[in-house]
Amino acid sequence: MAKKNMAIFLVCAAIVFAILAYYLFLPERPVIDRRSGKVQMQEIVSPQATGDIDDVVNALMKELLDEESLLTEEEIDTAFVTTDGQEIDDFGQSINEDEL
Amino acid sequence: MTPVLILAQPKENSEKERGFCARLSSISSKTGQRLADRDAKLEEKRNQIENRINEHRSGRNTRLEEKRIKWDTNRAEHFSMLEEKAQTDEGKQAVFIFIETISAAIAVRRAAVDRAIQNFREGIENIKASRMVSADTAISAFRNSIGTAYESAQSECDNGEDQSTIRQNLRNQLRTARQNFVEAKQEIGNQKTQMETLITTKREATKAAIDEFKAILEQARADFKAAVGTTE
Repeated sequence: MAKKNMAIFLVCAAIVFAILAYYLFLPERPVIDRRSGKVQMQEIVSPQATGDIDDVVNALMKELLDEESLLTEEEIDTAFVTTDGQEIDDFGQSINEDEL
Repeated sequence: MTPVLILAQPKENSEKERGFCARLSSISSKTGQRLADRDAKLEEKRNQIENRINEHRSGRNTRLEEKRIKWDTNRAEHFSMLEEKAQTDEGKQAVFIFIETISAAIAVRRAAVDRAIQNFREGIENIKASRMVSADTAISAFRNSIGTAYESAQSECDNGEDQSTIRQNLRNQLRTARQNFVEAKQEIGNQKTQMETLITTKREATKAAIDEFKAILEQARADFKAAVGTTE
C-alpha cells in the first residue's frame, strides 16, 4: 500500500515538474486568444550589439521569429468569416405553422 | 358530457378554418416582420464581422510596422558595432558587403511577406463575398417562395374557395419553402477547404521568403568570417 502511494506520488510529481518545465524553460510559445484574435507571445527582446558577427546573425534570426508571430495571427481571421451561420439559419424559423 | 366534448373539437377547428381567410393578412404580415427582423440581425452580424476583421488587420499592420522599426534600430546598432570593430581595409570591406547583402535581403523578404499577407487578405475577402452571395440567394428564394405561397392563398380566398383546403395548401407550400431553404443553406457550406488552401498558400509563400533569407544570411556570415578571418 505504501509502495503504491509512493508510485502515485512520484508520477504526479513528474507530471507537475514537466508542466512547470514546459512553461519556464521552453522558448516563446504562442498562445492564441480566441476572443481577441491576438497571438500572445513573450516579447522577443532585441539582443545588445556586441560587434560579433554571430550576435548580429542571432539578432536577425530573432527578428524573423517576431515577424512570424504576426503572420500566424493573420490566420485567426478565417474563424470570423463563418460566424453568421446562426443568423442565416434563423431565417428558416420565420414561418410559424401554428399561426395558420 | 362526452358527446358535447366530441362535438367541441371539430367546431373549434372549423371556426379556425372558417376564419382563416380573415386572418390571412395578419399572418402574412407577422411572417414578413419576422423576415425583416432576421434581415436586420444578419446585416448587423455581417457588419460586426467586417469591423472585427478590419480592426484586427489595422492592429496587426501597426504592430508589424512597430516591430520593423524596432528591429531596424537594433540592426543599425549591430552594424555600427561591426564597423567599429573592423580595423583593416579588408575588414571594413567585409563589413560593408555584409551590411549591403543583408539590407537588400531584408527588403526582399519583407516585400515577399507583405505580398503573402495581402494575397491572403484578398482571399478572405473573396470567400466572404462568395458566402454572402450564396446566402443572399438562398434567403431571397426563400422569401419569394413565402410571398408566392401567401399570394396564392389570398387569391384562393378571394375566389371563395374552401378555407380548410386553402389553409392546408398554404401549410404545404410553406413547408416546401423551408425544406428548399435548408437544402440551399447546405450549398453555402463552411468554406473550410477554401480557407485551408488560403492558409497553406500563405504559409508556403512566407516560408519560401524566410528560407531564402536564412540561406543568404548564412552565406553572408560564412563570407564575412572567411574575409575577416584572414585579416583580423
